[in-house]
Amino acid sequence: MFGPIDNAAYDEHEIKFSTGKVLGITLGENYESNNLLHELMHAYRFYTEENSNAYNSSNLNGEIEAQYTQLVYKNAIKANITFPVDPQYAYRIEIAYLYMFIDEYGKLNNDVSEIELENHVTNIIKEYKSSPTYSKEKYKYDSNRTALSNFKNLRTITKNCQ
Amino acid sequence: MKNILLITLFLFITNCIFSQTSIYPDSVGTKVFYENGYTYQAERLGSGIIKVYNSDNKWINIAKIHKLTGDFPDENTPDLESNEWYKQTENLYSILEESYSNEEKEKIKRVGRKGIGFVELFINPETGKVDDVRFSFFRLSYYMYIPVSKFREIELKIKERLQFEVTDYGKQFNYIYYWNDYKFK
Repeated sequence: MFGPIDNAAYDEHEIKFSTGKVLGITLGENYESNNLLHELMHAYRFYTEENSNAYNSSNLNGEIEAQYTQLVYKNAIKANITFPVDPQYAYRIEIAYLYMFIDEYGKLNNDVSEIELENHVTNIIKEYKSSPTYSKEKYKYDSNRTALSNFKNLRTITKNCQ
Repeated sequence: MKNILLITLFLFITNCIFSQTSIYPDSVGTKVFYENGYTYQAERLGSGIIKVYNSDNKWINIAKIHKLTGDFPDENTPDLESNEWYKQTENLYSILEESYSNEEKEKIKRVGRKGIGFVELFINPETGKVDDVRFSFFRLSYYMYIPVSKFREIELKIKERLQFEVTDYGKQFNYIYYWNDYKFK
């Protein structure tokens, strides 16, 4: 997620970029390690994209990967959700459904087709767009990329984990 | 000759194992189940996810909005009290554990994608009781062979036994949405 959010339940979290580099990540005191991992995924992706334009025009692609990676991490450490805000929105269940299609290492599961994954990512985008935090300007989806390519950074960072 | 007999036997057994037909749609679309006193439906999406729920529902496929303004809720403000939410989540797991036989649970765990099932709850903000329940799973899972009556049984238990505590913020909305995924131990 980008930019500060103004609410009583959670402190702000923000990742700042400049030309060619990540300036820093700010997390409020209510944030946990999984939130940090989420922001780190954005920072990592920033360095893997060709340029800032490529990064900005695929923010929603990156958000889906960051959310899924966060969930994989939370499940791996068996973390409880600390506050009943996570399950409020339908896009989060769509992210959890990703377990059906790709594994913890970002690879397509056996017997699942890329077409099914594409269809599912279409559902995720639909739910994101109906979410109140969705911003058309901030969360652009680059549909020229395959659904599976959205998880390439997860594949890279888990390469030595299998 | 012995080998031919063994191969024939193997093919027969394999055919028996895989000839069990799934209850839910094999292709994209909706299947309606007219049962004794209730009607259920199952939607299969292009992704292979199947969603099963009571056709007589109030909130499924309706947007969660502020009752007066029509605005969408703020994502980061809780609409359920956290202590009671934890307890009710445990209650939900208990209902799921007790509703499936050991044989069903073993099959659910072994077949398909890690045996993950999903339950979505649509909670009445005035009463804290559950108005609607929706189940979902993947086409490769054993849930494809779980009869509608089982989901109906779980739906009734959830409606009877779960009682959430809604925050003042949550009470301003038409319903409270809450989902959970689960795997049997």
